[in-house]
Amino acid sequence: MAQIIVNILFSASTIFLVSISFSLIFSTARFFHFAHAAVITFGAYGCFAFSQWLALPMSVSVAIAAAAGTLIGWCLEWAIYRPMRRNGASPLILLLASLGLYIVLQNGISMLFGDDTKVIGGSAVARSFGILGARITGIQLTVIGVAVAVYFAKVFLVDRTRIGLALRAVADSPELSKVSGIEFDKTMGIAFCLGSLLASAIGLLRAFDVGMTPTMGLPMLLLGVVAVVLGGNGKALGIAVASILLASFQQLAAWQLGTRWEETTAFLLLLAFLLCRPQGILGRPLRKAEV
Amino acid sequence: MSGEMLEVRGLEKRFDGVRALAGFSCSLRPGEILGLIGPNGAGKTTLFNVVSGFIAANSGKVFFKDKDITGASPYRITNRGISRTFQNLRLIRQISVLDNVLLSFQDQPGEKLRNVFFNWRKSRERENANREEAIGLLEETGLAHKAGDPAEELSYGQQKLLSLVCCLAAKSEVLLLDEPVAGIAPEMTERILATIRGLPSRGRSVILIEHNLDAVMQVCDRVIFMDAGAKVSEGTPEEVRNDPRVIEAYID
Amino acid sequence: MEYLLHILILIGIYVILSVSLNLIAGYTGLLSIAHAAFFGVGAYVAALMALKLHSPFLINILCAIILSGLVGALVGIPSLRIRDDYFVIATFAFQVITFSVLNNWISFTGGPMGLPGIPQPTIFGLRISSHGGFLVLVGVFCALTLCVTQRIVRSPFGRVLKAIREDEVFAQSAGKNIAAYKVLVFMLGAGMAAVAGVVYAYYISFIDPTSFTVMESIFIVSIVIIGGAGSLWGPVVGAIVLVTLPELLRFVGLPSAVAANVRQILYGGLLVAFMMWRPRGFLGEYAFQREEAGK
Repeated sequence: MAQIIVNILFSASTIFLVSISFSLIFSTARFFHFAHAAVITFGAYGCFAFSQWLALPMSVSVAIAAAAGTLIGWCLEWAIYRPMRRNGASPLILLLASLGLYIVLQNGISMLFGDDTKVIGGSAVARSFGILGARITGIQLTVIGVAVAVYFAKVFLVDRTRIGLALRAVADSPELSKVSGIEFDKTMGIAFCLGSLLASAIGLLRAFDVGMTPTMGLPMLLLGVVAVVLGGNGKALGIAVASILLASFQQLAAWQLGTRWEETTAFLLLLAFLLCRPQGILGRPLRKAEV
Repeated sequence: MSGEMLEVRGLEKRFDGVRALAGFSCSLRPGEILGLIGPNGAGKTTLFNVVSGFIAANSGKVFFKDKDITGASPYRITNRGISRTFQNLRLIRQISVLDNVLLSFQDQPGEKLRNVFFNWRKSRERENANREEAIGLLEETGLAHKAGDPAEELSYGQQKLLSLVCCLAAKSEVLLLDEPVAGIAPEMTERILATIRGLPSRGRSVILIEHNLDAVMQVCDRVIFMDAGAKVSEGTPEEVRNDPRVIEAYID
Repeated sequence: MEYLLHILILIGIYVILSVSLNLIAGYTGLLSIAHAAFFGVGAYVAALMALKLHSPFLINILCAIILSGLVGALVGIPSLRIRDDYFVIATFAFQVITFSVLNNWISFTGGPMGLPGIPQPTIFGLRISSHGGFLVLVGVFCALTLCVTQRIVRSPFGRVLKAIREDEVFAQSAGKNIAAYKVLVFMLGAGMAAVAGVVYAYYISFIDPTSFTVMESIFIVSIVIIGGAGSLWGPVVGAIVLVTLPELLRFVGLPSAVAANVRQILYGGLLVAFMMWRPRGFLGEYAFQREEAGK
């Protein structure tokens, strides 16, 4: 029983982190930035490249990988999305472009590193502890810790500071925010930086846990997207609740039907919410066309 | 049996706490042109949206020729015989003027998939008949020379006229026209008003939302003044114009 | 020579897939990343029937079309209630779920091992066994698909589809039951995609879930977009370009491990490029922009 709770907590933490990273970008830029999955993967492979190929110490590799991932995410915004936005691209067109970007980036990683699973980190992170009868590894505990930290960081550092206000202003009303002097492009850049930073971090954390493959980012992102839709309005609380709900559902499915049906369950849940309660658990309704 | 073309009883509509329609009632007589005026935010377009089925009222009823159509879907309401235009001018800009009109005809056999494959001749015949009728309508309103052009190439005024022509093509008995001459040059305004004036003789009844009071005075048989979702005054254009409550509302 | 025929057959299959997706996405404006699911359903239905029931080709293809059409209707239903980019996510979900079912319902679909040994089709007493035979088969179905699509888009039905694409609200106010049209067009597109799946299954004589992933869906979407959404011949151009271009790489001498990646980078890159500079593709009419009313 305790093991199940630990599993759910860990799973929910991973989902939460991916969700928040995605939501930071999605709520500001208002389109589904699928290339985010590549940024997640990039964090992991960056760490691998710096620590294995350049033989840098792990802590340095982690830091540089996170920074590199942030840079990549920002570059996508600056070089691709921003000019498209200037040309009046709709969310759908941006979504399609981001799919193309994901494909290019993922295959680039495949070509550079190969498709086999690579591992990083050593016994230090893999050692498992016993807590109340359940087993958990050092890295898994770290993920949960980071998730909690990010939750509070989001609520207190982002939502309530000027950065958070700017992000929300741009999200709610791009036109008005421009008028009131908030620098639109700069705010968008910050959103992408924050989101990509978090994404790279969760990518490399995941790699420490189970290793990395070039396609690791997409399933993670998809779960994150499910949690964002379930959670509704992009606030940390909604996403946290949704992550826990999703993780619980998946554990239930794994237990009853077998782990291979986990993904299906998540998507069935997504469909159910999109059809019956598109505003998510806590969000505002998504209106279709205004008459 | 009331004999009214359209009757609206006690419509209530709230948006996030704002009362857009406050127990609004009115009726439209056959062959009448009814003007609906009032300040911005009075609920006029909301009324149209409820009657045409795009928005559900919180309470109240809508009757069309004594049949309850409250809550029916927009397409069914059009099928029954009520057409509308939109304040922010909706058309299919990418297709031709003629295609916009052809689209608006009702009961087209060619729109049913089985006819597309198994009864192409029936579809073709009706399409040809509709095409003749559509060109006739366009000639009447002076748009025939633009029939093949994409609708987006028309001027704003011509586009407004086109949306009126589409309502005519639908052969609706009731037309809800939302600001048909707003923002248009005088010459086109005259053309559109002339078309509207001719509607009762074709067996149509009209409710007209307009801010252009001269137009309303010229064209309408009866006028309702609306404010904050409620009916403030009702009568002939003269009566309403001189109603102190109306004057006061405009001064505020 | 065999190789050339093989490429032509593949082009034919992708023409059917992209023309059918174009009907849904290009003409009606409902972008869907679920098309590989319809492709897969068609392939699996035909394969299962051929292997387990030994039923004739024409019966199999009919069942494949019908079943895929039903799945198509299911996928179309969310479009009635959700906005276009969220709807894309919903189709994504359908695609992933379908793949999961094909991959995990091992007792029925064979799971990751797939279904080998699909027999050669016999139509009106003629057995199709050579590349040439399959090319004719694909060609016939391509022609049929194009004719059906052309008839649809030039009809009043097709006019309503374009109206839905440009302004749903106007279409409703013109008295059109847009819900019915949306579901119908999904059924049509899914049914046609199933035909491609059936031909594919018989041609390769072995199918497994890896041919019907979300990446495949995105590839088909790319063909439609690059070729040109909303035009009749756009998808044909797109299919020819996107199927042959990677094949040309073979002659450049890339190691096969990398070739698959390069192929994907090619169409991913083309997708980004077209989205940035020419969203309407080579021949298209529709650029997946929603015009704001009144502009």
